[in-house]
Amino acid sequence: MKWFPQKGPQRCSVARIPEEDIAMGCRVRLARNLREHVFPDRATARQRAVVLSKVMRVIQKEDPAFSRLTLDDLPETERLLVYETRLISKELSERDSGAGIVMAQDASVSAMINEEDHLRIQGFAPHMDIEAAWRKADALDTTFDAYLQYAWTPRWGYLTACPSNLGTGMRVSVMFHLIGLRMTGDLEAAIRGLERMRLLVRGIYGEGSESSGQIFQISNMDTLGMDEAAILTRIRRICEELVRQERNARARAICNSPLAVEDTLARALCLLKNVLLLPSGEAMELLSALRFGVSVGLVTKLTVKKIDQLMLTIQPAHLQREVDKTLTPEQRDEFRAVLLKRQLSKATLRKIAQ
Amino acid sequence: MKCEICHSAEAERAIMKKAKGQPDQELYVCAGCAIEAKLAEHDEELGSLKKTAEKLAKKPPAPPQEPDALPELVGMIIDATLEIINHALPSQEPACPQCGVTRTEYRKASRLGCAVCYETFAKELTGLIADMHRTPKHDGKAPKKPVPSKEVQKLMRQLSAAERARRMEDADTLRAAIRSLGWRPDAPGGDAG
Ligand SMILES: [Zn+2]
Ligand SMILES: [Zn+2]
Repeated sequence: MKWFPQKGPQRCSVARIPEEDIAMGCRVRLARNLREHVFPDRATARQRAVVLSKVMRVIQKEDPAFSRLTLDDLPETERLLVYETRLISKELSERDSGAGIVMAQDASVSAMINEEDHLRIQGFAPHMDIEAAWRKADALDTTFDAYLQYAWTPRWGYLTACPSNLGTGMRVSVMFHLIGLRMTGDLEAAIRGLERMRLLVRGIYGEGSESSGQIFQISNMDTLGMDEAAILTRIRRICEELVRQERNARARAICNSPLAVEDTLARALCLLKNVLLLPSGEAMELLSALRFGVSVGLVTKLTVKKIDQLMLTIQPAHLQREVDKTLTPEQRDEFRAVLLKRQLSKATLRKIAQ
Repeated sequence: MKCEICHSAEAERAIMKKAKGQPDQELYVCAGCAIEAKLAEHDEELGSLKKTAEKLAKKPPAPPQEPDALPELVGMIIDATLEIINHALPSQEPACPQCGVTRTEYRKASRLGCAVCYETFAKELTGLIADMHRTPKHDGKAPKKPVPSKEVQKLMRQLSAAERARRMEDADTLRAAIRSLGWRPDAPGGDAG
C-alpha cells in the first residue's frame, strides 16, 4: 500500500509494540428497519413504542438472559453513563421517547432500538478482531430476522433512514491510538490517506465527536455493493497496514528524538501526580502519553489495560458514579485529579537505552 | 438564494408553477410570493383566507410598550396564513403514502421517513444513491424470507393476471414497474436472491 508517506530507516531498535496496544477495540454495526413501520425520526411516540415492544418481545423469547432497557425510564445521569461506555450513541441517548437497548450479559453484543434506524445491532470484540464482532452481530441479526419483517430489496439491500447506510447496513469500526503518527507529524497525511481510501475517521465517541487523546475510530464509508466478507477483508488489510505505520512512527519518534519523547512522558507523569484540577480533555491527553510510554516500555508499573479503564473512569458520568453524587464541573476536575494521582502513584519512568 | 419571482426577498420554499402546455416548473420563492402564487391558483379559497387573516388581525394588539409587537403580529399572520394554505390546499409535492414525507422534507433532513419512501422517490433516489455509493447494487446478506412491499406485491399479482390473460403489453409494463422498484419480476416472490 502506497497511501502513506514512507520515511527513511530508523537509527535504533525498539522492542516490537503489540498490535493490541495500537488497535484498542472494534465494533460491527448493522442497521435494520421494519418494513411496515415508519422510521424512528418520523414516527410518533406511539409508533416508536410499538416497534420497541416488538423487538423486546423477540429478545424475551429468544434470549431471556439479555438485559432489556428502556431509556425512557432511565435518569439523565444513567443515560450518560451508558453513552460513555460507547454502548449507545449520542443520538439514542437524546431520543425523547421510545429508545431502548437490549444487551447480552457480557455486553459483547447489543441492539439499539429506535436510534436513526429501528435497529442498530452491534457486535463488539477486543483489539481488531472484526471477524468475531461480525459473527456476534450477524447471529443477533439472524435471530431478529426470524420474527421481524425487515425492509429489504434485492437492488438496495437493507433499507435505512439515511441512504448512506444502504446495502449491508454494515459499519465496521476499529479504534486506534495513533499517538506515534502525531509525534512524527504524519497524522494528517495518514488521515487523508485513509479518507482517500473511503474510510471515515472520527473521534472516540463516533459521529461528530472530536478526537481525544489521539484516539480515532476508523470505519468503512461504503455499505452498498460489497458483501460483508469483502468489507471485512478490506478493513482488515487497511487496519494491519495502519498498525504497521503507527508502530514504525513510535519507533521513529523514540530513535529520532529521544529527549523530546522522554520529556513528554516526564511532563505527563509530573502533571498527573501533582495538579489539583484536571479537566477531562487534558486528562485524556496526559493518559494518552502514558499509554504510549507503557507500550514502548518507557513507563513501568502500569499497564495499557489499566490506562484504558482510567480513560473511561474519568468521563463525567462515570466519575460521578465513583462518588455516588452529582458534582459541579470544578468538583469533577478536582476529583479527577485526586483519583488519577492515587491510581498512578506507582508509575515510574525509564530512560531510553542508547 | 433570492426569490425567483420578485428577485428581492430571500427564497424559503419551493412551489410548482403550472403553465398550459408546459411541464410544471419548480420555483424557489419567498413567503410572500408563495402566498400570491397559491392565491392566484386557488381563487375560490381567497375569500376564506382573507377572512381568517382579518380575524387574526382583529386579535387584541400586544401592549404598546413592546416595540416589537407590530412586526411580530405581521409575522404571526403570515405564519398562520401559510399554515392554512398548506393545510387547506392540496400540496402539489408528491408525499410518501406510508409516512407522508415530501421530497423537500427528506432532502432537508437527508433522511427518509419509511421503507415505502424508497419507492415513492425511487426515480430521484436512484441517481442520488449512485453518486453516494461506488457500486449501487446490493451484494451480501438477505433476509431468510424477503417480503416485497405491498405495492410490489400488487404489481406482481397484476403481472400474473396479465400473463394468464396474455396481455403481453401490460405484462411488459408491469415487469418494468417491478424492476424499477428493485425487484425481479420473474423470480418467485420477486426475490433476486
Ligand atoms: Zn418573492
Ligand atoms: Zn415514507
